[in-house]
Amino acid sequence: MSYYFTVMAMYILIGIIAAWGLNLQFGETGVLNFAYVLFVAAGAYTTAVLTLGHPSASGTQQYFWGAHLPFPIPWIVSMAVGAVLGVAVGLVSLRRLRGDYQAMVMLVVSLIATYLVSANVGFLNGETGLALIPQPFGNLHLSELNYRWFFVAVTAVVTLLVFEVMRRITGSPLGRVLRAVRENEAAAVALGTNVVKMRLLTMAVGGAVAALSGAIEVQFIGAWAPAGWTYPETFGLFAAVLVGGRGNLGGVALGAFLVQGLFLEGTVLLPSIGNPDLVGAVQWITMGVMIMLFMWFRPRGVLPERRRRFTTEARTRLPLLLVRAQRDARG
Amino acid sequence: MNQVLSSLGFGIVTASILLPAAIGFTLQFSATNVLNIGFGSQMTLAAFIGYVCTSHGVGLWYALLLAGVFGGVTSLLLNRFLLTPFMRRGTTFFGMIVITIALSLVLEYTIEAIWGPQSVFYPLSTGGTVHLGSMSFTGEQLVIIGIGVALALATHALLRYTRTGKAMRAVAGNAPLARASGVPAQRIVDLAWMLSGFMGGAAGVMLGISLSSVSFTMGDTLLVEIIAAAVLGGVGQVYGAMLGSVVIGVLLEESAIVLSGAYAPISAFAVLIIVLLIRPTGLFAGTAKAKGVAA
Amino acid sequence: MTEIDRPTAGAPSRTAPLLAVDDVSVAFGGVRAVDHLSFDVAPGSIVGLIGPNGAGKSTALKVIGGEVKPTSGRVRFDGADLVGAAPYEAARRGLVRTFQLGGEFARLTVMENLLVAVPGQKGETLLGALAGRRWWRASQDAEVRKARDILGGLQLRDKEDAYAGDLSGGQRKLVEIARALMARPKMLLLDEPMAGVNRSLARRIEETLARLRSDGIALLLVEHELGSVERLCERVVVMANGSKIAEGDMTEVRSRDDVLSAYLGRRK
Ligand SMILES: Nc1ncnc2c1ncn2[C@@H]1O[C@H](COP(=O)(O)OP(=O)(O)OP(=O)(O)O)[C@@H](O)[C@H]1O
Ligand SMILES: [Mg+2]
Repeated sequence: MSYYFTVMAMYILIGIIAAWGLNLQFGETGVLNFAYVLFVAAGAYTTAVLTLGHPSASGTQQYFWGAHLPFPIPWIVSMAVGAVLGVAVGLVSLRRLRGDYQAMVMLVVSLIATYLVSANVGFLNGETGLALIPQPFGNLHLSELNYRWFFVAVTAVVTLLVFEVMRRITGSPLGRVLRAVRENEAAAVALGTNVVKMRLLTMAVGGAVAALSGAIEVQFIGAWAPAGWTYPETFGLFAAVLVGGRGNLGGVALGAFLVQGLFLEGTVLLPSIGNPDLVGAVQWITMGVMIMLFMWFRPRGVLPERRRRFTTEARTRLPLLLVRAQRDARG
Repeated sequence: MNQVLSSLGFGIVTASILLPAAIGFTLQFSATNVLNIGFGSQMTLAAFIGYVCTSHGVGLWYALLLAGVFGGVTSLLLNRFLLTPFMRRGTTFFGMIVITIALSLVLEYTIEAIWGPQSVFYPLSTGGTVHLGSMSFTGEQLVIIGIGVALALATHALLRYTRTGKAMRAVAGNAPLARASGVPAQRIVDLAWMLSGFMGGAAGVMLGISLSSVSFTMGDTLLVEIIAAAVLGGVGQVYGAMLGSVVIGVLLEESAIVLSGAYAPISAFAVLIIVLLIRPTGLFAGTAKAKGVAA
Repeated sequence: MTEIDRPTAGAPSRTAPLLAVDDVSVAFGGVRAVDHLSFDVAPGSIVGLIGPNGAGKSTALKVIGGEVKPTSGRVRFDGADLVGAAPYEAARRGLVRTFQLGGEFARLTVMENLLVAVPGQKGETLLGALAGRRWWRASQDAEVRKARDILGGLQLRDKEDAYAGDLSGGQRKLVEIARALMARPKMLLLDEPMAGVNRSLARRIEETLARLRSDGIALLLVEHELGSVERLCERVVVMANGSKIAEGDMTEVRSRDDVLSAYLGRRK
């Protein structure tokens, strides 16, 4: 049972990290990145390759390179790869197309990537995917269960770090500009905002965060294959952001908790139906219905974006004075 | 050379399937400005209905017709009772995409829940092939080509020569203006969705026949090909979609000569992305510009 | 072109124009929305741009503001070419446009709407944001105070925390003007700031615009409410079917038959 809890905790934390990255792109800036799961995959593959040994040492699987680097280097490099990939994908799709068609192109990009990786066996072991990916913290010599809890704790710390980064970005003047881009692109441009640059920035930061979530996940489960990052997975994360409340970090975390919980608990709650395929199908159907219901009844999510009020030290005194002064001036 | 020609044969078949599908997708978009991600799943559902018909002894081509009708009716109902209410509520363009994604999940996995994850098979004749130079077609493939071309021509005739078609173009160009000048916009939108559903349903069965099997994820890949064709042609341009279908269809098959099988799909999308980089409005720019899709 | 704009165009202006629109044309497919349009705006002056619906006024503003690239022609602002520049350059050089409709950031509060416009804020870069509140707080406070001043002047102080999308049409127009002012403009392009606004708000907007002029901000004002145009503008440019049909002061322009038939006649 404890085992199960560690798995549950990990998936929820990883889901929250990934959903926050998507929230920065979609919730704050309004970029419909339908290739989001590609960035999770990029992080996972990068970490896998960087932790695996030299390819020739592995008899069972093929991949183009292996570096055997220690924690935390693979995670950091993964983030860099995610960021660079984000800018690259952004440059292709974001520069001249309107938002909805950007989304279409992203979807195409996501699919191309799946094809490429699946087709090229020598690159990342094709459709079968990579397995036996080394886990970090081996030198701590913990018991299996303690090791798992330790991994959860490390992930929790990373989650807090990501939260702080997200909080700083969304609460800053930069976050305000991102939301302005989301609300009204033409008006943002008319005020001097380089909208493309802002979108690329969120593609980079969101891409890095997505990659980080993939990096953590791949080391926890030890395997990664194309079937795990088909484009519907992106929609699962969108569902988390929408259900929780786009633009609200706490809400998004709650959404990720609910969505991941549904996916994990679903298998536990619905075993009586028997057929495992059916359970999976029912989960996805529930997800689809849930998205529609939320879009109808709570279009802004469970915890909607907060209204941001401004206080300066002088706030309590100034207005009265100002109002009076104006009244006097006007007679 | 022979190889190029024989691949061209496959390309023509694929293009003929993409034709009605991309036309349908584009009709929906130009009528209501909704990018329907659920379109692929709707096609798949119709293809399964076609399968149900054939397994009850209905002939293959009648099954295609029935699946088309089924597709048309469901498409109409989905627009009327799901998408339109959301639009009336002021759901944004992005919001609408999300709704159609949800719709796609529901449809796709309902199909899986009913018919299971394995492919189902259409009963195909084992008849011989027809040779045209180094291209060879089965009888079914020839009919598919015929249907694809006929549907495209019918669309052309409808849009060009009938009052309804003109009204459709008017609604696509500017719905409020069309309404103001007395076009019954709601009826036209209904008709556009019904037609697009019919096209999609027919295309779904055609694809099933061409692959000789149907699976619940069939629509996923197909959707991306449809989008590629539609975007390549120029968003919301029916004639653009036709051209885009032919280009994408032929490219998908021709590239298989140069690239190994699994890579083949990539070339068509690569072309799409290159075209978008050079000419973000697609090949036929008109509507894309007017609707502000691309700069 | 026409009789009347020759003396104006030929008159030696004391200062170089702040904005020079030179032979600009815009075609949308077959429609020529703007057709060989030329005019200047001197620093600190108010020029009206009037004409019937569909004359091409908004399109002209979009070209000047950089949102729409002209099919041909040039726009120079403050010595710099704007046609070749990125669309956001106009604002960075001090030329800010307001919108005929829907220019607000609906789900941002009024205060946020204003703060977005502040150019080059601390904390607007990724590093600045990551540095945390302490890094940008003081400069933001200064901007918040300035925004409150501006809002106070427009009697919108109590709306500071309201979402812009929840305001009345007239209040939104005021917010847009206030927001444009936060961008520290040399010139504003105003697209029908008084359309659909009730009388008292329209007066408030008119007063505000008059005040801006005395602050040295130049204005290019598109407006159908000709009374306001007459009171505010020293010069008007009249457009019809994309072309300039007249230019001069309001009384002069009013007396012309072609203007009357193209515009005033139809409206009155
Ligand atoms: N994006 C566009 N695509 C096609 N035609 C356009 C576009 N924008 C404007 N037009 C056309 O260009 C012409 C000029 O439009 P514009 O909006 O500039 O007129 P206006 O003078 O601002 O009118 P109003 O007083 O009604 O605001 C109109 O015929 C309009 O239909
Ligand atoms: Mg206008």
